[in-house]
Amino acid sequence: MSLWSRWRARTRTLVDRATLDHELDRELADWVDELTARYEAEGVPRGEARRRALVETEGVEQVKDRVRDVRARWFFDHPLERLRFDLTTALRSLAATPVLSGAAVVTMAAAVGVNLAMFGLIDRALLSPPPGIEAPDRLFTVSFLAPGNDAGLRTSVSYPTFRAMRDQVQAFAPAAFQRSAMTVVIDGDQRQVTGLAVSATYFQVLGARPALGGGLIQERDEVGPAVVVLSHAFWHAAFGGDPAVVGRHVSVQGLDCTVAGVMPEGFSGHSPTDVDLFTPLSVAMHSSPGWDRDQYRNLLAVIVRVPPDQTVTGAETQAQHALGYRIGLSPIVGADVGATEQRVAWWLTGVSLLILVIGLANASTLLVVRAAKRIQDVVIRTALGASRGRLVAQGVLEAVIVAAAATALSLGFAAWLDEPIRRVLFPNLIGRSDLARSTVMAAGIAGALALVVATIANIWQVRAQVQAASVAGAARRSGRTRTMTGLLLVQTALSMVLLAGAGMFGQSLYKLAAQDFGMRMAGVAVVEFEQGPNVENKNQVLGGVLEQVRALPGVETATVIDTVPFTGFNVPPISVPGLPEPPKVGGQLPFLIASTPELLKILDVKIVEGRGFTAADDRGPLVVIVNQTMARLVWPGEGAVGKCIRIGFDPDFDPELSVGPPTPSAKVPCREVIGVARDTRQRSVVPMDNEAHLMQYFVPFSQEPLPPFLPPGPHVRGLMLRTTTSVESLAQPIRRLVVGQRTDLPFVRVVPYVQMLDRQLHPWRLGTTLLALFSAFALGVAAVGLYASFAHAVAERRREMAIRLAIGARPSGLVVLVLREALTMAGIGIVAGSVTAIVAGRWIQSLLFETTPSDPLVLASAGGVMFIVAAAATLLPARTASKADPNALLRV
Amino acid sequence: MAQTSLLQGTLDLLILRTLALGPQHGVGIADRIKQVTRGTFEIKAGSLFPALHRLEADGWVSGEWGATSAGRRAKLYTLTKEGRKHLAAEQKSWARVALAIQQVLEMQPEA
Repeated sequence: MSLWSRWRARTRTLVDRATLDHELDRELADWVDELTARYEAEGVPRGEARRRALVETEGVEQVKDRVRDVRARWFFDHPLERLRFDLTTALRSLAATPVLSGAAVVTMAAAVGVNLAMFGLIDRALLSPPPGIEAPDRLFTVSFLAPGNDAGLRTSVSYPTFRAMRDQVQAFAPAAFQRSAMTVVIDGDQRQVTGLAVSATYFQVLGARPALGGGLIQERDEVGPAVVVLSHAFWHAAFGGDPAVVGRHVSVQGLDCTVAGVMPEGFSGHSPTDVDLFTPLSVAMHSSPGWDRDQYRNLLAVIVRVPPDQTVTGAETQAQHALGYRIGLSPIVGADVGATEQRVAWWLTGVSLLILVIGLANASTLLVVRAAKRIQDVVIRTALGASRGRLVAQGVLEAVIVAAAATALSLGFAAWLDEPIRRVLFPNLIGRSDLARSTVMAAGIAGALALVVATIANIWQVRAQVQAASVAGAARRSGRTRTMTGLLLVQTALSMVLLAGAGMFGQSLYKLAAQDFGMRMAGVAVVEFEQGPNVENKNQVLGGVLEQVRALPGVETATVIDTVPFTGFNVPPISVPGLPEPPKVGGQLPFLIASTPELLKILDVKIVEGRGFTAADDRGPLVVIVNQTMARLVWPGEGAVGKCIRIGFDPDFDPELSVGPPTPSAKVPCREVIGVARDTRQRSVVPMDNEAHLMQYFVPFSQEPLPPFLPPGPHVRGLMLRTTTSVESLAQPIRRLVVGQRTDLPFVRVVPYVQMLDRQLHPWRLGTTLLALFSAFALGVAAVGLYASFAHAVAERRREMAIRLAIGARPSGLVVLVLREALTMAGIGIVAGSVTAIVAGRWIQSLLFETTPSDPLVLASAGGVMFIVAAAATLLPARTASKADPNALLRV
Repeated sequence: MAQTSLLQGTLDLLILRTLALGPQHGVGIADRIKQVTRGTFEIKAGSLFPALHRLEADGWVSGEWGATSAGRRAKLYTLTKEGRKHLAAEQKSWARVALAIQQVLEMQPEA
């Protein structure tokens, strides 16, 4: 006999009271029979023999009582056995309704999983120190407070300032870094990587050593060997984890460097943001001479290690004495995550708690429906003498089992969701979430969930038990109960809140992207590359291939560009004859856009007055086109065309002697305004303050005024094309044309112009994507809940439905009857959800664009979706109701 | 011979020892004990069945329906593996207890 079957036999005899009593009856009957037979064999007559046998037994009923007594006492003495028994019963009970139990487990697991993934990511990105660094609690990021202005926080400083911190402040050890995109050429293969240019102190401050090679060992920041250290991941990606990589040559930013080491796996510097390689400052800055002397080039961020014998405030005070202005130290956790991202991330974490509530409500609904289906069990067990306490205990145990299964499953969900959510939320975050931490959290969350769910299910079950007892046999069928209705309302209302939230973000995103920026950005591509050390003149490289690029199939028009809106700013000195001050809007000087005739055509910038540029302007007199805002503000009430402005630097301008931005004098030639163009958006997708109406002016490309320290001639920064095919398909041919046979060029980017808005649109895209995901989940869950409870209600009411059909109701009428109930409930949920969304929407109002939380379109669409889902989920039960068979059901 | 009242827990030991010889039903067990103890212990149904059921719950014996050697239908009890172990342990401890009691009973007044 195996252990299992023996155990089963044992629990069966212990548990199953009816079987047990029956067997005991038989056993004692056999006993009496045998004794009787024995007396008969001795010649005692049958009646007398039986009497004697019974006397000898000393009362069959008493024996039975004693056996039962022993059994009960045994059970009481063995709590573990009792638990085992309860567990079996609970499992068997759950298995009796596999779909409902399974669905409850899955929704709870998914809800917990979403939260685990969210918290895991938040934990990694914002709460945990990056991996592989020593005593991270003594590491701080530094912010610099402008004198007399606590709000004016800066996070970067010049190299001389960093040097002063390093040499004059004893209370901490600082390290400086700059994160940037770098162009690397490995075996003739050009690629763009994320590089971290670091000071000589960097690795020492972090307490990190390379896993391979000697690493960056420098005496000074200003000069040093051209070396580079790879991250573990990049080592694998670019060199296939070749152990002989140390000593190999790679070109970094056009400079030939030697690989000096590989950092340990998972190490990414001072923040958990992905990085491909580390270089000394001297390598990264070799094309920017003067970087180590210029007081005003704020290009370095700083972290410091405060030794254990120093306090943070002490270090801050000492730094203030040494530097002459205040600095602030903040813990290293969350470094390099933008403020908006942090805000959105925390906010979305709050939203994911809603998912938890929905999942919880749903699991409760399913368990309550389950309990309703199992009511007969409860009635039978009550009749057999199970106490109320035992029934409650079993209910709790069932919920605990569901929660335990959900916990295990949620870990799987979390691991699966981790990557997709990371990609949306923190695209640059590296590593995986800590499974041990997740497990503890999952157990915590699921434990709490189990408690709540058990309570709800039990209140219901005990109530049901009372009902069942009072109505003897539970003949009365109640259909959907108030508990179920309440839980369903919670689900529909919260789904509605999420849907409305997704709608608000989606509408904001749509309206932001669909704004009229005064130009046509779709179908436009930009070709550009960073100014590298070996590229003295982009004009030759880019200007030289312009004709060939124009000839490519799929390219409609192409032009050279300097700065265009959203790619950079050119704000040269300007003066207007007759005006005492240079014209400004909100303190901002007008933006100059050097423009070919083709550029105005490509961007479709409308000329509303006067004329546009022609090819003849390249060799003609100096001309300029101003935008409407500039025309209106500089020459109010007069026509701008024919007026004059002066742009650029005086011929005798000397930057050494200049205080503040210069104003062009009469020595700078006059440029005649020949036209007025529509305003185009210059730098911000959100038209806050004056962003939608800043002053701009256009000059012919060849007439661009340049500062005296730049070589004369047109300044080509990139190319702009209007295309008829996808930019992706053009990227490779264009890159080939531009790079030609050269290997020293920086990475050539060919990107759609609208992509320049991506960074700015990111928070909205993030909100929309995640909220849409969350609402889809919520809707799915709500649909399951609605389906389960309506299917149950319809099953309970099939006699009623049959009667209705028998007395003349049409099947379609019954469908309508059920659907009406479902949609009424959905309607109440939608109203409650809308009110909640409007109230809660105030918290995200600042994140919305031209959308209010009470936006009728958003609420109506969200409500519409909710209605459709509710109708779809209950259609099947409704059809079942309409098919109730009066013949089969009413004959009983 | 006069009947002796059973020491608490001793009945379990007697039943287990009896079943160690082979599966038996209730009457068989009672008969065997009576026979071996030459009538010292006559086990009544009121003691036997509760004891059997307790032993079954503890997992030391298992009951299954079968037929007696005389061909009668009966619930036959078998000693399980754990029951055998338990019996061995109980026998040892019984021997110790018996010896101890004997020593106490045979105590002589000190000279």
